[in-house]
Amino acid sequence: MTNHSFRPARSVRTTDAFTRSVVSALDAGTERLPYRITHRLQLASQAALAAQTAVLETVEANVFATVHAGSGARGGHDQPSLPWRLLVTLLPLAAIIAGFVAIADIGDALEADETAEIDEAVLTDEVPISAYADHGFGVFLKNNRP
Amino acid sequence: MASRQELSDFLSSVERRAFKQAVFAVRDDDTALDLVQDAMMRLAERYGDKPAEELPMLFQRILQNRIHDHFRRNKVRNFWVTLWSALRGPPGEADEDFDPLESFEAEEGSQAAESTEDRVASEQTVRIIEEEIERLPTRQREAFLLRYWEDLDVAETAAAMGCSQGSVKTHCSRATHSLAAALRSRGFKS
Repeated sequence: MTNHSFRPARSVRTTDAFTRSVVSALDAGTERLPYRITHRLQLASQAALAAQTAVLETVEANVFATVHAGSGARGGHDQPSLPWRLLVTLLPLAAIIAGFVAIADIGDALEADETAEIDEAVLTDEVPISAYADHGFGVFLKNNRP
Repeated sequence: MASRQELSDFLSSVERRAFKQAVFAVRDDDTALDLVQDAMMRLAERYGDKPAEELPMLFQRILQNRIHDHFRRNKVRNFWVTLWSALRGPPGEADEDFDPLESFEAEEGSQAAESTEDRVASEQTVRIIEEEIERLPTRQREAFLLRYWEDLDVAETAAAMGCSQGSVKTHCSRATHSLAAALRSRGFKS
């Protein structure tokens, strides 16, 4: 502080006058700091200003990057667009579901083919289908099993 | 947002007082310089985008926190006892009629006319007052310096110190009375 507002203070009577006197003395003390101290304080200030500049530049760079990232989402190449990211995420899931559906369909088809083969064999046999319901024919088949 | 120029002006205006505040607390020039530099760096890095009017309170809060952190790291340091015996001269040595505050009675502009004798007396007064400021309890000294030297209002001082406004008033009152009593005992007329 460079303001030497020394005020009359012949005695310590009131707090205001007293504190003003003390503050004036403290101000005077700061004016008498050695060069070693003032020089280091100046260097510290300069370092702090450089730090502020660096921070502000970083903030500006981040804002710039954020703005361009937003435009990239609408067709840029820096980051995949939202539909593309959804597609990449959902495609494997859809493939898995389709696989399950296909497996179930194939299983049903195989089962139907097997049933059809049995029906065909029964219908084309020389033995009438009603014979298989006859108990005696069942005993006959059992006794003549090879 | 504080511009580079505003921050520069603020740091220039506060750097010497900040240094003295730190010296009053830690009693070591190099440590005080480190604390002030740390506080400046933190202010610039963390709060460099704040409005200029918020810088004083923020800086004082940072500086006080830095000083407290320093003491937390150096709990074993006891600095109250030694200075009293080291700095206090033998009683009766000073001129009975000498009032150190008289060296500050001149209005602004009359300093150029001060004699060498006046200058020595003024320097002695400054030294005595700084010694007594140093001897104040930490919180009282913080409150006194922030409130009266840094010219923060009660609310800002409370924010910088991290305490209530009532505590600030109490600390300031006690500091003023303690300081007045101490200075009276060292030759100031009351």
